[in-house]
Amino acid sequence: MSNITLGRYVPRDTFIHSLDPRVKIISLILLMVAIFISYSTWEMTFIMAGILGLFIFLLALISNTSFRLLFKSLRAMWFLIIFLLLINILIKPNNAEIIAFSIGSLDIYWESIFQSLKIIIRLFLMVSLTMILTTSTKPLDLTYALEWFMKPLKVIKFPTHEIAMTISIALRFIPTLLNEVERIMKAQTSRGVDFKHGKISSRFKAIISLIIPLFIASFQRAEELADSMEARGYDPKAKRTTYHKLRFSVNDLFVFILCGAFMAATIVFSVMNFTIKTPLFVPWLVIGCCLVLFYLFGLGAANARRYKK
Amino acid sequence: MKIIEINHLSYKYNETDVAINDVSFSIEAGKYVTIIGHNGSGKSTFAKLLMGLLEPNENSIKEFGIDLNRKTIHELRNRMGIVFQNPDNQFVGATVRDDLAFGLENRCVKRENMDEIINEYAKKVNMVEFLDKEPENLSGGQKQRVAIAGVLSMNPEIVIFDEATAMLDPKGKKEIRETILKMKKENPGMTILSITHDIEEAYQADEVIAFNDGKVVFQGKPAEVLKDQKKLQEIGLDIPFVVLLKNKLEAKGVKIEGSSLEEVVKNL
Repeated sequence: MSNITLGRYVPRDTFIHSLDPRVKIISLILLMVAIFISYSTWEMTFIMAGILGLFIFLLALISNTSFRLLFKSLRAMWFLIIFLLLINILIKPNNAEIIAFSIGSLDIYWESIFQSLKIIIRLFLMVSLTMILTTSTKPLDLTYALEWFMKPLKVIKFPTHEIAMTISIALRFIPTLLNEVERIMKAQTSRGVDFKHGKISSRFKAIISLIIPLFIASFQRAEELADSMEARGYDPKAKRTTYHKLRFSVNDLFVFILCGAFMAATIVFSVMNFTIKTPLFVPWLVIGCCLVLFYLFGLGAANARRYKK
Repeated sequence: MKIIEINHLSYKYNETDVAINDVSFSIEAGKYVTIIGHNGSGKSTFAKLLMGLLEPNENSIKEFGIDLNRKTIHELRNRMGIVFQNPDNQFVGATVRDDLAFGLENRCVKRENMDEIINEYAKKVNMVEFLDKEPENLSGGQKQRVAIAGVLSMNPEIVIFDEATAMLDPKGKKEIRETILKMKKENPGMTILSITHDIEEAYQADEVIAFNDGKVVFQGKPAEVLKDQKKLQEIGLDIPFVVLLKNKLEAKGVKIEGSSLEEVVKNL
């Protein structure tokens, strides 16, 4: 059950926590695109991955996300990583030339090692980004942002409000249901059901004794919740006011521009086939990185008074 | 003034399961009334009928002098509030603040006024310091207090408690009982209808109505109703130990004054 705590919202008072959830979601998408852009040479791939990694590292630093948790997420993916390594090593890439080393008669190419490394780095960056988003944003705020994004669909009578309400209630009841799971498990264990040992088929049977009471209890809860919501005057079709308001501030604009610039730069590098040997590439890259750092420091300084803690 | 009038009310869930069987009585405005009865006596069904969550038979329920039907249901519901038994299943918001805002959103209260109202009612139930807490970090009693604040913030004229203390520990029960009494004191015009099988709570009330098998068995002052030990046991209710002691002593010729439980304990 501890896996569920991975990427859970951590209430803190940081610059990233204060950003508009809509901007955070869009920035996430922009940076994801930047992560998945591919380049013509391996050096470029790793340099750009390094720069993105540095940027994400800074984000994690600013948002006070624990690095222990980030690496824990990597540990959760170990199976996937080994699988990727194996596949990449066993299947010879078509443009592979240089043999790194041989195990018996099996030749292992640098290409395959780079390839798997690239995928692992991409995965790690992607998961880190998502975790920074989820640890720095209340689930409810994410729901409001999603509702806002779905607004245009209202034209075709898409029930955006109902969906947002459903998601927020689901989020609200996750801990309650987890408690319930624990309680039912204890109750069933005390009646002789063994959830942890035995063959897969018997464990599967044990799970059924958990799921059925859980379902029944959930339906009961749903009914009572519906009664209570109705009694408090809830009518999804009626006009309601909203307590929460999403605020788009100057900071949000800056962050949006920064992430947009990042994505644009990676796309330009990729499309123009930039390599280290391209004239003036390295100076421009250094200048670009410095600009981004300045930008971040500027933002930090401008907000320093508000987030002194 | 009669605020609730029940006239030949019947309700059945299906052909064999008759929950309420031809009940008629009325409740005066501004009274604190408890409805007692054992499990399955129809008292919770009665609460749902009053809120219009179940559909009653025609012309059987009148609230504020208005007949409860599909047309008037929203208007009547806006003037009433209900607190249910399970503290978890009536907590809609992600935090206490969001939950209190939920009711206000439904009533189309302007956003600018919400914070003020939320703070005011959270203070009334002593939950101000918990405003930003999630429900899983609150005790059952605290969650019920939030539910009470949520109901009060809508200025209802009738508040129904549907076994609001049944799932709480003794401390939580006491908290809620005290909150109800405080609430009654602050809003003398409010009618409180408390459904319970906690007889101790019945002693606080102005009036007690006892349900058994979907029928009203008796209605009257708590001291009178609760004195009738045999009848209470007949309908499956437990009598508090203090009252048993009082009755036994009185049988032996020792007179004990007091109508509420606390008074009796004091005089003992």
